Amino acid sequence: MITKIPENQICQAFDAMMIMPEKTSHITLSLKKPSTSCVAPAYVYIEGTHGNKFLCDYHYHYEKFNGNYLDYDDSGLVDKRENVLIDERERVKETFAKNVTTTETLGKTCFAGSNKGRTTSTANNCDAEALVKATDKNGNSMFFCNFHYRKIYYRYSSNGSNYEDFYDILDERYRMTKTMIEESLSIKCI
Amino acid sequence: MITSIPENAICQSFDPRMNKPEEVLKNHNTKEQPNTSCVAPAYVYVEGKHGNKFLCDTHYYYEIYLNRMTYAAPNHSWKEIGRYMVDERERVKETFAKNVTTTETLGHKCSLINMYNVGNLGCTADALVKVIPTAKVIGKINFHSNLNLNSSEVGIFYCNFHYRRTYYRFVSNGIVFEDFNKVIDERSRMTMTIAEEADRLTYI
Repeated sequence: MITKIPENQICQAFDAMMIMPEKTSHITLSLKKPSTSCVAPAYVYIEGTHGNKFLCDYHYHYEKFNGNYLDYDDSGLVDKRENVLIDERERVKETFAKNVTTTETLGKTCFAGSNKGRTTSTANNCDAEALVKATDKNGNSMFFCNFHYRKIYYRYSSNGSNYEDFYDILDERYRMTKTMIEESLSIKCI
Repeated sequence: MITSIPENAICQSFDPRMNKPEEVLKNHNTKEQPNTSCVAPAYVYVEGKHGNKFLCDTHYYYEIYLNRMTYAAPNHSWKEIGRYMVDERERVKETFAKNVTTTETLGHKCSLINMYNVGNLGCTADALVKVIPTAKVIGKINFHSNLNLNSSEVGIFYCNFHYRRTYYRFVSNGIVFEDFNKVIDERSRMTMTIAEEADRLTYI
């Protein structure tokens, strides 16, 4: 029986949306299409409707947010949810940069937005407080909340590239007061 | 350790592509998102890089096909999806209609066109099933709409793979397929194995 996330365990999500061009047009890394697998560290273990698997913080929330957990039996519609057996998402905070005192992200909101109405949310943009600043080689900056920063960071990693090779990162996530669960519950777009 | 597919095990795939953009829902006159889960019988069990799960024949191959054509991190190839695998796909043939003598699908190809690159190769497999829609699905996505509408004048032709995919998309959304379609099932003519059929698909 699994009681904790094994060391070096990576996410086991299968993300079919990665073959949709609008999802990954910003990643032009390899000659192949973007990966439908994920190499981010796992922080959650679930058993249920969609099998038994380890998931990263992003893909756990993605599956929960986008999943229409419907099943039909003789009595009609059945809503089946996953059993979350292990949730170690709070350990994400161990990855935050240490000894940071800058406040450049203060007052900024997350840059992320939905793709062409594909989200089921009525709010199409993330208006969460920004905690990370990413600046490209031309000096153009984007601001991200923790959730969307991690999403873009590992999308690059899962496609064999390092986000930090393309952007200078200012990580001010030390300012984050919410728990990971609280943050994910407040996310308006995936 | 799982060595055979338990009776009544259903597919455990998660398919976020079923979550349709608002414009698609509007085109189908519905506000109801399709199911991102699948209720088809499971014929495969895998333990591997995408977790441990039961999958139907369609979703197993869908996962293999998509993962095979995309980037893979080192030691993370599509072959790792089924590090351990139970494959009972050949049992799909038990679902084929028996004692069929018609040959209406003979000479026809699967109707599935390439929706993402219109004009590019769609499914080129021989048709084995003819479906004649008899009633319109109201209030939900109509999964037949992904087909060449011109072919519906004489019926929609499917290979086994795409027939089963369409059939269970209806079922997974609470629609009895036969209530909306007349089905002529000539899959008894199929000579390939289910695995061979999947491996030869030109389009998913």
